[in-house]
Amino acid sequence: MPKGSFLGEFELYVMGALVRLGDDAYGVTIRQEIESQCGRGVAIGAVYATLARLETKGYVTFTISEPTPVPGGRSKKFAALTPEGQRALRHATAMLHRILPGLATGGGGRK
Amino acid sequence: MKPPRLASLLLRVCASRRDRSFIVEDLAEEFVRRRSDAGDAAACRWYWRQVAGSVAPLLRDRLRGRRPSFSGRDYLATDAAQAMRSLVRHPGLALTIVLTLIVGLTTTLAATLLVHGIILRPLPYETPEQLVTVRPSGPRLPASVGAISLPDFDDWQTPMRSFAVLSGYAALTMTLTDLGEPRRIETLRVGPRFGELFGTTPVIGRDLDARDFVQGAQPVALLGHALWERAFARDSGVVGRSLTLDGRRYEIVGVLPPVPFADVTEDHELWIPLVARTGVAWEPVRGNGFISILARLAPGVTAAAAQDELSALTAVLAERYPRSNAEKPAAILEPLQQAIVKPVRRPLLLVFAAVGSVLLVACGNLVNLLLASAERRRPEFAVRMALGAGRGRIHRQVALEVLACVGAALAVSLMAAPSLARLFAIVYPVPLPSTDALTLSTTTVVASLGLGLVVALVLAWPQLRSIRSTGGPAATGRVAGSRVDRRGRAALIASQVAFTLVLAFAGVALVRSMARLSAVEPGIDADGVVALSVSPSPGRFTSGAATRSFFEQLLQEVRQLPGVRAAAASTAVPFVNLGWGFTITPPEGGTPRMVRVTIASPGFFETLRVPLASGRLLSDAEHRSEQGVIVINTLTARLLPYDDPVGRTLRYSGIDWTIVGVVAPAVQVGLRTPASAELFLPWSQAGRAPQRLVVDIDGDAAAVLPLITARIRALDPAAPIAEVTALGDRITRSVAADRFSATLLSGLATVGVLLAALGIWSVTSYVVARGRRENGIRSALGESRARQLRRTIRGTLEPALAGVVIGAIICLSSAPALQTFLFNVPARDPLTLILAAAGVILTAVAAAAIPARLALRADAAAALRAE
Repeated sequence: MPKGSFLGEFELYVMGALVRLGDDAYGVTIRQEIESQCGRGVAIGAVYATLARLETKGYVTFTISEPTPVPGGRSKKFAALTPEGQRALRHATAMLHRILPGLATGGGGRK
Repeated sequence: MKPPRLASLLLRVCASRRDRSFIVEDLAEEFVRRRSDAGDAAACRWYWRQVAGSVAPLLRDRLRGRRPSFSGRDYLATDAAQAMRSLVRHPGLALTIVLTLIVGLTTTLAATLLVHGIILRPLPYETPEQLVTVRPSGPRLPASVGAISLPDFDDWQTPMRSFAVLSGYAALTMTLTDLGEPRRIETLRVGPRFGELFGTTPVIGRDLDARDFVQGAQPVALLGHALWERAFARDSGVVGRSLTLDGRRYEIVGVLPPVPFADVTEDHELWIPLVARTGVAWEPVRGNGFISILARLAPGVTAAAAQDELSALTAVLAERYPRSNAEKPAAILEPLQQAIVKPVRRPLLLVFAAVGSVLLVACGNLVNLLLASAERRRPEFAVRMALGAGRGRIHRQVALEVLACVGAALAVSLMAAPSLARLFAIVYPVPLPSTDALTLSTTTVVASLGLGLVVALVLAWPQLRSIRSTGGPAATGRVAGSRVDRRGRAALIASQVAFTLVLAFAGVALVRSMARLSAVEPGIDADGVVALSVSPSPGRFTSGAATRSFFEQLLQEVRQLPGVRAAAASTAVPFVNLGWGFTITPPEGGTPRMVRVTIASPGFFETLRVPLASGRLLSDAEHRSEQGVIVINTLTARLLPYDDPVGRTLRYSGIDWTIVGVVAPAVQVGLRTPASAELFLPWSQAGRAPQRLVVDIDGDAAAVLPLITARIRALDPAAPIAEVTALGDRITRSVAADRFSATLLSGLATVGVLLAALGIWSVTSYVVARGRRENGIRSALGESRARQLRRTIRGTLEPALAGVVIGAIICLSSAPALQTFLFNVPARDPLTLILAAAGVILTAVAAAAIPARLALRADAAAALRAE
């Protein structure tokens, strides 16, 4: 693995949320997912900042949707893991397993 | 209900532009849900908590800078490489810019070095701001009187509170005999504590002190550093050795440090004490001034206060000795730095202003070029922005291009400027003070970098502006130029033409002045006349009579030589040296005036072909006798209240002299300085004063001169012969400085006019090329070629004419500054302005008409087909 690609804690949470949320991962949902799963308050700014950082690393891509077909609908910025991102996440969790034995592995997310 | 306004504003500010809307809308979405779940207050609180927690991460993210998708490359390196590539793609443009800048910046920097090093630099002595020159002054005293007499100098030595040191000097050329070949040597006779003025102490031996100034004391000398190095080979045991000057032995008591004193006094090689010379009758007389005064103010004392204190003393002296001092009741102090720099200050500033103007005109051309280039590149920038490059990146690239050109030019200029400045100092006909300071100092380098930055900004601005106005889909660049562009170009042309006119005005004025100067009648016929200084060795010729007979015999023999038409001897020769200055009081009272006194042998006026105005010249017998007869010139005659001064008497030096003749005036100093009133004493008055031989030679002077020197050697082998000059050369040299300024200014003006013409030419070509399509259509619709030509030219000529008007106003208002350079030409002379304006307008018209005609000659159909 090239140097400088260790994932931070929050980055892991965000990537994990992306996996669990699948197609429905945008600011609100990602934030709520992390908040509910990790049991701590999450600021939306932190989510966006982390997503930007992950995009720089090439782990995340964005799609901007058409405005939703409801009155006052808006376009949303959806995020998804790239193949490299998925590889990085798998690698990180594998490393965590090795370093921290006896971790309870999380369940699969909605796919 | 909407989310709290302040919080959402804070959120907007912190968020990056890309995500701003999404973040705000996401949070708004959740806010709405929370409101319905938990109520308004709780929702607001939650909102604030969210914003508070988001500020830090968002700001951190922004400051880190978003990287483009091709991450991992350094911003600056990419942009620099891109800048280089685009410069290389347009080598002509880049080269033009760099070369023009090199020329402009080098000359400007050299001029700055000259101004900074010569005018602004403080003198190389301790606390130079305390040094002042002192002159006697009075309401009716001519400004040229600057020296005081020996008795006055002694009186001025009384301790005064305002002066830490007050001393003086007088230059004297003496004959040095026992150090190699006998030669003439420049000495400086210095008053007590002279070295203290400069804060210098001898490097070897002792300084002069009180005992050296006692009348009759053993003569001593302080060697100048250069003399010590050259003639004594830096011998540290030089103290105690002696020199023979003018036949007397001077004991060497010390060696001076290598400080440049010559900027202040005349050039000299050693110091001797200023005491009355034995056998020189006029020196101890109170009315005869020959000592120049320098002083150092006491710490904290102003020049005005010192001037008052000294003036009180001079007023007392004026009362006590009315015959000699009545006209000098006061004294004037002037800072030494100012006094030294005064003669060169204006010429240097003129050069600086002229060179700066040329730089401005050149920059105007470059801006024009870059404006055209910017319009040409509009499609390129638009495409790049459409591909995602931020505007900032393009700005950066353009700035780097300009900086690269300016930086390259600046580097070359910084290296070349000191050499150019030094070359100027060498070539300039008048010796400039402190030329060793013409090197780059920190101040000048910083100033140059600042100048470079300003130039870079000026050059980059047109392109940056053009980028800003490009947005969205690329403009195809077919637009002939927005109105703002046209106005910008017009303003540029107008200002270029204005500056050029000012330069041309100065050039024409100086050339006219030069012509007037060259037309001045010197009053003598210098063709073929040679002057040389001959000093019969004082050991052999111990009396005035003996010296006179030496010269008489010499003249007799020289007159016999082949090719010699006439010869004479005198104490002063026009254009070579000045006669002694004395003040005489006209018989019926009135202001005392300065006259120059010369002792001339028979044949003097014939040798120089000075015409006789009235009366007659002295006969040989009169020259030899002790009769009190003199010849004056017409200017002296004008001072006297008589219609015909022949036969009248004139009181000089206590004797009533009878005037037998009046000659035409001859210029003594230079063609600029009008002739002075003169007095010619008979040859019998010549004591052992230094004499010059004047010889009028028909034919080749180079062949005859050795014969003359052989005659001199035959009569006195030890007599040093010096300063052999052809008077014709002297006259030319006296106007050399004016000729230099005139040539330089007209050269710069020509360069300026050519540059402006180039600018107008290129703008016209550009506008015509731009408007080809339009012109083609108009032609097809029946517009005549002549009309098109007129229309195109008018676009460039109107601003040019505006520039002429502006330039004329500047010329007329700043003309008085030029007056000091001009001779016999009024600064605001309309003829000068008309000539200059005519030249500039003709050039502008040609520069606009020729390219327009050439371009419009193209077939109208061809222009349309090119679409």
